[in-house]
Amino acid sequence: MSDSDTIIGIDLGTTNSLVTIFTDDGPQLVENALGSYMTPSAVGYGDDGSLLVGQAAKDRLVTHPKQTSARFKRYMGTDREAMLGKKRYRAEELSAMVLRSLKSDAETQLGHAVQNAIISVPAYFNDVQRKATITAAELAGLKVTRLINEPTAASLAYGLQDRDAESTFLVVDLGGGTFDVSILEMFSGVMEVRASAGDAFLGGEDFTDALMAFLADQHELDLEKMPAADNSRLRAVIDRMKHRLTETTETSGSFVMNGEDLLLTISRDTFDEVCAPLIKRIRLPIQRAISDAGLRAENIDRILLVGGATRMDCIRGLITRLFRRFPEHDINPDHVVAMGAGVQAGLAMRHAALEDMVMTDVAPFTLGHETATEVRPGQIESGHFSPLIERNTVVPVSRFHTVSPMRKGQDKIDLKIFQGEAPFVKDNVKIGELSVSIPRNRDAFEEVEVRFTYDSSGILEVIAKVLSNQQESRIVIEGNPGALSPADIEKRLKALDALKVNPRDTQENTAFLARLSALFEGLLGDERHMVGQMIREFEAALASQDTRVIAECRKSLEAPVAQLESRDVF
Amino acid sequence: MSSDGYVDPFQFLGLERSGATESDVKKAYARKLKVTRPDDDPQGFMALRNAFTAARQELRWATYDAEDEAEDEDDSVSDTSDANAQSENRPDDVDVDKLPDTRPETAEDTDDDPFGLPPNAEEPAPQWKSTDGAEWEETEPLPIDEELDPSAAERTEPKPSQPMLSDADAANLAMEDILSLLDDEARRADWNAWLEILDSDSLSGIDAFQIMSARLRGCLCERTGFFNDKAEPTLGDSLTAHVFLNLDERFGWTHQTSANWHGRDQGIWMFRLRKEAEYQLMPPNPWGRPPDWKIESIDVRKSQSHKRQKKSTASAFMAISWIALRVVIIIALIRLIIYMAG
Repeated sequence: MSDSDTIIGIDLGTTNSLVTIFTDDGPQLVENALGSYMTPSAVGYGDDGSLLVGQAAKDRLVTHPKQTSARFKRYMGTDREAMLGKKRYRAEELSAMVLRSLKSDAETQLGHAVQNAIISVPAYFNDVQRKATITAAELAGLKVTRLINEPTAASLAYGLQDRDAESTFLVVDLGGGTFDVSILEMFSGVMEVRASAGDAFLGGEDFTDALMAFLADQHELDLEKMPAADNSRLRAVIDRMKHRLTETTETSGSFVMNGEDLLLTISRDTFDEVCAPLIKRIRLPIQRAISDAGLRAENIDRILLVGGATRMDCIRGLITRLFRRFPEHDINPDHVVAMGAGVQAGLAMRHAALEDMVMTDVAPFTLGHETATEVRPGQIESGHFSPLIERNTVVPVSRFHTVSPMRKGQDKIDLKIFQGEAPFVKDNVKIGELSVSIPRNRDAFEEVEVRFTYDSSGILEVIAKVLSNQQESRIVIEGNPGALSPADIEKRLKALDALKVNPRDTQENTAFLARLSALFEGLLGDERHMVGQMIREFEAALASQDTRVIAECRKSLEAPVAQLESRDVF
Repeated sequence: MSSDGYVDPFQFLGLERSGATESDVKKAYARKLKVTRPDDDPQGFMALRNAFTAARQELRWATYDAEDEAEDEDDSVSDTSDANAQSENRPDDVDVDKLPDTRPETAEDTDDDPFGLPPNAEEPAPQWKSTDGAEWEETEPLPIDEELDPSAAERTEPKPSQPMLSDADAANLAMEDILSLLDDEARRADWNAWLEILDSDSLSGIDAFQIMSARLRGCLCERTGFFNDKAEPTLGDSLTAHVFLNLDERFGWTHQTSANWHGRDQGIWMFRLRKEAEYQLMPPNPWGRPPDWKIESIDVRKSQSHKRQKKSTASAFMAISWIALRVVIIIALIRLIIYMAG
C-alpha cells in the first residue's frame, strides 16, 4: 500500500475533533501540536493575524470573541455565516480549518502527505448537511472516501474488541451538539445497522445553555445585553461547573463581571430539573429506533454510551430506568467515535487486520417525493409525502415506483424530493426538485418510473424515466440552501490557502498565552494579580526566543494554572 | 428487486429451504457478504440483501405461525378453566350490546386490514414483501392486537396492583385508568390527572412506553372516528384539545410516523387531529379558518358536520360585519376625496 492511499479517520465534532490512523494494532489516536488527542472545534485569528485552530482559539473565545468562532457544526448545511475579524465565513470553511489542522497532525505523525479521510457525521444529518461536510473536507484538501454515521463508528470501535460474538447493541451518542441512537447487530464479522434515529439539534451544549439561562435568571443577568466577552466567559465557567457535576452532587463557580465577584452554585438535583425538557427529548428517538428495528428492550444485549455528554448523571439514570440495567462506557466516550472512524478507514484500506469484517449501514431518513392523492371520491389532496426509501433501509439501496400525471395531456411533472417522516411534505425537508418533461398524450395517462438510489455515504440520486419513450432525467438539485457551487469551492479554497496558519512549533505557546489570558479575565484580586505576573513571566520567556527557556517556563507555570482553572469555590 | 424472474432467497444464499434456521441464513449471508461488499458491488449487494431479508422474514413468519398455533391451544384450555381472567384480552368474549358505539364492528378484523385503507396505487404491493418494508410490519404486533381492548377492559374490574407487573399488564392497568378518566367529566381536562397515570413507575420502561403509545393512539383514533369512515376527526367532549396536544407532545405521534402502513395511516389521522386541536385553541378569527389549518384541497368538502356549521354561522356573522365596516370606511374616504377635489 503506497502512502498516497492512506486514509485517516476523523471525528469532526461540535465541541472537539479527533483524528485517528489505522495501524497493525488497530486505530490509534493522533496527538495535536499541544500533545492532546482532542482538538477543540474552534477557529480564530491571533493578534498577528495568523489563523489559530483548537485550544488557543477556544481560550481566545473568552478574550477575543469577535475574532473567534466555535460550535459551527450546528450551522453546517445552512447559509449562516460567522464573522471572524472582518471576514465572513461559512460553517464549511470554519470546519475546513479544523480539518486542515487535523490533517497536518496526522501528516506529522505519519511522515507523509494524506489525501483521503473517513469523516464521521451524526446519523441524523440530512443530505444537505452531509454534502456540506464533504465540501468542508474538499476545502481542507481531503477527499472523503466515505462518511460514517457516528453511532456506527462507535459500535465498530466496540465491536472490534469481540468480533465473533453474536450480539445486538444499542448506541446512545450524545455529543456536544447532536444526539444519535443506533441499533446494531453483529454476527460472524458482519456489523449491521438495524435502525438509527436522533435529534440533530440536541447535545451537551444545550445542557450548558439551559444551565446558563437558569443561573443568569437566578442572578438577574441579562444574557442578551451582556458584552460578548463576558458572555463567553460566563459560558466557560458554567461549562466547567457542568463537568464537575458528573463527579460531585453540588458545585460552584465564580464569575467576575464589572469588578464584582458573583458566586454561582448548582446542585445535581436542580440541574436535573433544569434539564428535564432536554431529557424528555432523548426518550423518543430511543423508542423509535427500537420500534423500527422491531425489537424489545430485552432483545438488546449491550447498551453503549458514547459522547462526552453521556457522562451526565441524568443521562445515565434515564437509560438505566428505560432499560432497567446499567449501560456500558468502557471506551472513553470522547474518543470512541474517532476510534471507530479509524476502524472504518482500516476497512476502506483493506487492512489485513480487518479482512473478515464487513459493515452495512442504513438510511436514517425516509426519502420520497410529493404526490397528490385522491383521499375520497372526487377530492384530490396535494402535498402528500410519498415515501420511496423508508427510513432504516439498508444502504446502498435502489427503489422505484411508477407515477402518473394528474391529467391527460400534461407535458411536465415537477418532482419535488423530500426527506422526513411527516405525512405531508410541508413538514419535511425539501432536498431537491426534478422537472420531468413527458410527451403530450391526450388519450391516456403517461407513466413515469421514479427511481431513488441512495449510496452508503448517504448521497441520493433520482432518475425519472418516461416509460413510453424511455427518456431519462436525472436530478439537478436547485435552490439547495447549503450547497456551494464548484466555482465557489474553488474560490474559497484559494482564499483559505492564502491564510497564514500559525506555525506548528509555536502553537503550543500561542495556546498557553491564550489560556493565561482567559484565566486572567475570570479572576479578581490577588489571584488575578498572580496570573498577571505569570503572563509577564511567560512573555519575557517568549521574548528570549530560546525554545528551551520557553518550554521550561511553560512547564513551571502549568501546575499553578491548572489549579486555578479547576478551582471549586467550596 | 428486478421484477423479471423470481429467485428463491434460500437458493440464492446456497441453502436448502427445509430445515434452514435463522442462524444458517445469517452465516450464509455473512459468507457471501464478504465477497459482495456494499461499497464495491452495490448491485450485487442489493440482490444479496433482498435475498437475506426475504429468507429471514420467511423463517420469522414460520415461527410466528407456530407460536400462534401454540397460543390457540393454550387459549382453548384457559377458556374453560380461567375464562374471567382471560376475558380482558379476548374481545370476542365481550357482550357486544354493552359496547360503546365507537367500537369497530369486530375486533378480529384487525388481522386483515380493517381500516379500509385505500391501497396505494403507486406502490406495487408485492414489492413490500421482498424488501425491508415487510420486516417492519411485525414491529407492533402486540399493540395492534390489543389496542381495541380498552373498550372491553372498561367493564372488567380493576385488578389489584401487584408488586412486579409485566409491561403489558402495566399498560393494561393504565389504559383502564385512562378510560375511566375519559369518562370523568370533572378531571379529564386536567393534564395533571393524566400525568398521574402516565408517570407511574411501572410505565417507565421502554417497552411499556411503546405499548402505551400504540394503545393510546389506537384508543384516541377510535374515539375520534378513525374507524367510522369519518371525513374529518372530531375531538369530542371527552378529549380536550389541550390534553390531546400534551399527549402528542409526550408520545410524539405526529413527529414520527410509524414505518408500517397501518401506523402511517393512524399517524395521518393524528396529524389531522392535531390541526383540529390547534384550531380549537386559536383565538376567534373573523375570516374563519386560517389558510394553513388544512392541507390544500382541490375540491370543496360537500358535507359538513353540524357542529362546524354552528361555528361557521358565528364567524360568518363576524365576517359580514367586518366587510360592512370596510365598505363604510371606503365610502367615507371617497366622499372625502370628492370633497377635497371639489
